[in-house]
Amino acid sequence: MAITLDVNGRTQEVDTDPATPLLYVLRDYLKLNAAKFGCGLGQCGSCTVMVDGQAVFSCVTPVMTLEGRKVTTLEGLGTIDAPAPIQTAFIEVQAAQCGYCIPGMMMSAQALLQKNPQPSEREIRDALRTNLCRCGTHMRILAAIRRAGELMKSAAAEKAGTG
Amino acid sequence: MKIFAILALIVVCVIGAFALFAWRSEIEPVDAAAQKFDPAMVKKGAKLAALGNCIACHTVPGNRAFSGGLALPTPFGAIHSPNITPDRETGIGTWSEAAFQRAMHEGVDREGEHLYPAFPYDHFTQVTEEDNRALYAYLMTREPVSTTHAGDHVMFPLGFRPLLAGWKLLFLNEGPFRPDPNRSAELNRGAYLAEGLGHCGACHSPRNSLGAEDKDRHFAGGEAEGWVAYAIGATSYAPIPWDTEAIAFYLRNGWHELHGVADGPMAEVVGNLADLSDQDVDPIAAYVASLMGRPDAKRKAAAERLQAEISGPGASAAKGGSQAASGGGADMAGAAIYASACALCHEGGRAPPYGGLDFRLSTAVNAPNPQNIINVTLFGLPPADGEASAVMPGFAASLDDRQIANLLAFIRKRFSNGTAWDGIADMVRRTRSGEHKVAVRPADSIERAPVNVGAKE
Amino acid sequence: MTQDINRRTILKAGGALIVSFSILPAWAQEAAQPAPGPKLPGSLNDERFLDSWIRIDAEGKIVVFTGKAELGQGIKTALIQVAAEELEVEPADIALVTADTGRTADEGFTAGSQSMQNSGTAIRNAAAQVRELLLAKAAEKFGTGSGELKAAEKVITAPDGRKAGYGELAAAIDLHIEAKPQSMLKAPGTLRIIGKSLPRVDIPAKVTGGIA
Repeated sequence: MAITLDVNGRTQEVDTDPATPLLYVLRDYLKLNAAKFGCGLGQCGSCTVMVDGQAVFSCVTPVMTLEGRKVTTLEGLGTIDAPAPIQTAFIEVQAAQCGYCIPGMMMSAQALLQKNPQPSEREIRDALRTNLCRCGTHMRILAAIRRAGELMKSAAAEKAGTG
Repeated sequence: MKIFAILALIVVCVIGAFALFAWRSEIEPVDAAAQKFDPAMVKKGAKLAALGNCIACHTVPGNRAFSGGLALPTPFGAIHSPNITPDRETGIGTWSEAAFQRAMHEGVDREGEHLYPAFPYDHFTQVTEEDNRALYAYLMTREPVSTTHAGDHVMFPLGFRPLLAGWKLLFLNEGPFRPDPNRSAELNRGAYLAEGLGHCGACHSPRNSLGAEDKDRHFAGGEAEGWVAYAIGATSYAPIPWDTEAIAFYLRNGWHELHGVADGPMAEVVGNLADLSDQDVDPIAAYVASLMGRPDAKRKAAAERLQAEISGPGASAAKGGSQAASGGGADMAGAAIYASACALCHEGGRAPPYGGLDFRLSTAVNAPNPQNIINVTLFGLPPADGEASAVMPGFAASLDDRQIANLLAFIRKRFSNGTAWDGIADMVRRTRSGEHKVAVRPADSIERAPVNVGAKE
Repeated sequence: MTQDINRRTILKAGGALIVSFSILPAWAQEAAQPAPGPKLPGSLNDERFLDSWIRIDAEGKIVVFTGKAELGQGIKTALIQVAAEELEVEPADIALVTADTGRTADEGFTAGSQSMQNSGTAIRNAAAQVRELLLAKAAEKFGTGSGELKAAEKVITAPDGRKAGYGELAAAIDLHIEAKPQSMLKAPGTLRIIGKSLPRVDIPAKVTGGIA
């Protein structure tokens, strides 16, 4: 079945079973490898992407449900040469160890920060409740999200100032 | 003229009599926290507070335990739970034990004001003075927390508290608990805990138009914080009938392999009970099981068939998946969503609580009201903080109302013999928008407090 | 003949077993390998050629090889620091190849905090020896003593200002030679890069969806 997807602002058609999880489509068809397969059960968060600005687990999201909706992956936020604020923050704070969980962490955080640029510590922890890290940069991840909030705020102020 | 005068006199007398009837004296303030309490008494009180699930209503998630302020939505307006820490200004730090006993037994605060029956004194009235003394000792040895709370927003004229005396006249049967001589000591103990401090009926019994429990339909199923509190008794929709062992296990662990995981407000109840001993919980299970009664022959046979089917070879193999769909596009869509989003856990062969429940066993799938499965599908089962727990992702962000409706219609058709649910999409919409308010809690955990306090404190 | 093996028979046969175990491995070793060379530092002892660890092409591009894998522990960054230090270049001048069956030394598991100890030691010694070879080649070219030369920014400079690039010098050196047991490691007081905390080189790609 041909399914039309809007991924990172690009409209693309994929021909696949409607029940295929979005994660497989991203990685195997679209070669977007930031989202990772962790548990495959929507429990670890390493596959997190955004759909219409909300964090979802792409491993348990059937691709058929996404027609007409905007999918954003970590690749859609920024590039290594032009990183988005959240990427800059994670680099600045060095908030990755092995990095497997990090794209999911960042997408959950991005979804939070888009809604709430100045989240409290508890709101950050709540938003990341379903993202697991097993090697241990938890405190840096939290710090990076706080830093990303600052960067987003100053970027917005700059934009408002010049625009 | 004379007739009017007599009528006026009658009205004045009635009002006066009511005022007299409704009036309660203030009990002198004391410095409650300055008292000395026997540590054994405090420990006993901690257990009782866990049994009573006090922390659930008296704590806002993220705030200090027992500091109150949680808005309890009722059909009559939002009522905020009071601070029951021993803070002198904003808590109950000036309450003597007598004042505490009166609040538990009569629903009146220290100053003599009637309390709303959101505080389930219709149950607590049965708690013995001795148990209240232990609860008092426990609460008065908590750390005082100073708070400012929003006022209550109840509908007119309920803001006038003396009216509550009328409610009590109608619906409050003051204690103490009277053991039934025809029951065993264990069953009496269970009844005392379940009907008194445990206040199971507050959620599991239906309420009348004045918000009182319908005594004729005891445990016939009720509502709590947006969740269906299922019937405990012959009308239970559990595909495998509950027995004493299953109930005891469920109450202690928050899940049972043939029934699934506690969710919603029940998650807090079992989270609290987890830290009690079998000895404390077994009588409740025995009592609740006695109310469940023995399943009739038909139900028993169906349950045996189901159990054989589930434990038989190839049990979960050929059930769901998109191939299993028959019928039209909605059914196909539901089946495809099921295959991709649900089957991996619910047919993964991993037992609860870490694997999903086989839907054939699910009360939520087999009950006539789909509210609970809508809640779980939308909001999932958040993981507990800092401990292993059951977990399920919510699908609110990835599935729209129609898709969830298709999915649930498929699940109902596939895994239950019940008739199709009506109006699911609209219920999903109302639940998602918050029009139908739902409290979401992690499984097997006390999440209203910052660090899973409660019995664990 | 079948015989039950139990504790008693094992004990009885013990003397013979001890003899056979003590002799056989020695024969096997001698049969398999010629006389081993001198003990070399770290993993150099197993992978003895300098060009198994460091290669410099004619353009001066430096590639360093390790048999250990980056797992987020940061060894890519740390090994680059070690190589850059001894080669007297900047970390950005080094391309590092990690754990590649076809290209790098087989250093076994990446575990047990052994990466810096084994691979790091090999790379540090190899880099120091390569630097000395480059200096010797430059000294030969300039007709000076190698002690008078200065290496920096992939260029070796003579006291009179004459310069020779690493690429040009490397083209004239065969790095497919066995390492020596002793290296001229930089003195602790002169370290520029080792001991500093550098940003991890793998993180930018990890946070943008790239290959790290």
